[in-house]
Amino acid sequence: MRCPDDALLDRWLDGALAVTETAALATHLAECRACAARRDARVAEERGWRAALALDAAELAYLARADLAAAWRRAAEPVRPAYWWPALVVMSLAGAYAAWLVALPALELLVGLANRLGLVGMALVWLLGEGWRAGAAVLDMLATPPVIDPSVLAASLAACLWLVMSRPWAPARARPTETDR
Amino acid sequence: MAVAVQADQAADARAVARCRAGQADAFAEVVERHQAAVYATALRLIGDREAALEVANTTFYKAYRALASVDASRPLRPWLVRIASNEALSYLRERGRDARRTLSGEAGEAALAGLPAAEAQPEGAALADEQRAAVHRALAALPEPYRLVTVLRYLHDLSYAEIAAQTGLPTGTVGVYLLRAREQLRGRLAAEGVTADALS
Repeated sequence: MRCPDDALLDRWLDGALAVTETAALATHLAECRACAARRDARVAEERGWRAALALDAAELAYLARADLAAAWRRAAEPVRPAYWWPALVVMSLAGAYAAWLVALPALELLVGLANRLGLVGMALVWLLGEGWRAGAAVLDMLATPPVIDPSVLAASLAACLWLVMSRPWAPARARPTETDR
Repeated sequence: MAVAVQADQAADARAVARCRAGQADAFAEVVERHQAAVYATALRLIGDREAALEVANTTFYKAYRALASVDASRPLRPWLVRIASNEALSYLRERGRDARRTLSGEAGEAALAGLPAAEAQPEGAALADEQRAAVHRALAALPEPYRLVTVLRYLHDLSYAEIAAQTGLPTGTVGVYLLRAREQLRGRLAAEGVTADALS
């Protein structure tokens, strides 16, 4: 086998040659000192490239400081149940009960006084009376609809017709220009 | 090595099953296991730490959303690296559009290839850093398809067939791209005075 060119040597180092080519080149390299030296130089060069591409200590430290996994670790933290709203409900109920206990004697006193004066009965009678009057007025209106003056009706219809035809609320149309035409 | 890969794969499968069962925290394990590979992919394609971090974050969010449809019996890393590559290339295209809008000529090229300045370090370390930076600059100057196959080959140690599967390129095209990428890398590094011996 003749001495391989650089491309063939690189492909051999990449392990990209066919089995027969690989075997032939290996045999040649075992015999040819110059090609073996070229191979060694290339192996060293590629080792250097690999070392240069790997992360160095400073880059690894930077990555460690960034802590990319933190977001997922935080997701694992147990979600604490929200105790505040049941506590608020309990406290509200307790507060309302206490207020009721405090206000109860005063309320009883007020109700007793109103009963003694007949105020509750009077209020009920007034409410019933007002409701009765309102109902009677509605029934009256249904039974005898109000008569509308024909002239007023005609004037109203005319005004509506004018409004619909003239449409004063519509924006004024722009006049067409020469270019529009 | 192979045992470790298999253990990772089994752990990934368990984590995916837990995620599917509603335990989002299981994905934190996946992120911790693969963040270096994903971040390195983005960083070498973009050349900017913060942008690479953003891309890595997006990659994991997209992967998490797609977990329901992923085949958990297969390794997750190639899938994550593929998402990261696509996200990084999308980012570069977006940035390229923005840069063309705002910058032009040498100013634009300088901004795109901008790398952080080396900090004060011992002489040996500074030399090594300068050589690494030279490789990064040479990589950043490659056309996107060449850069992608180079990163997949030398960062993730993928074969032609695996790169073809990742990128959707024909295997022969992968070989051609790698050949040209290596030629350009060697040319640029030689122009900067970085030799194979210095790198190794």
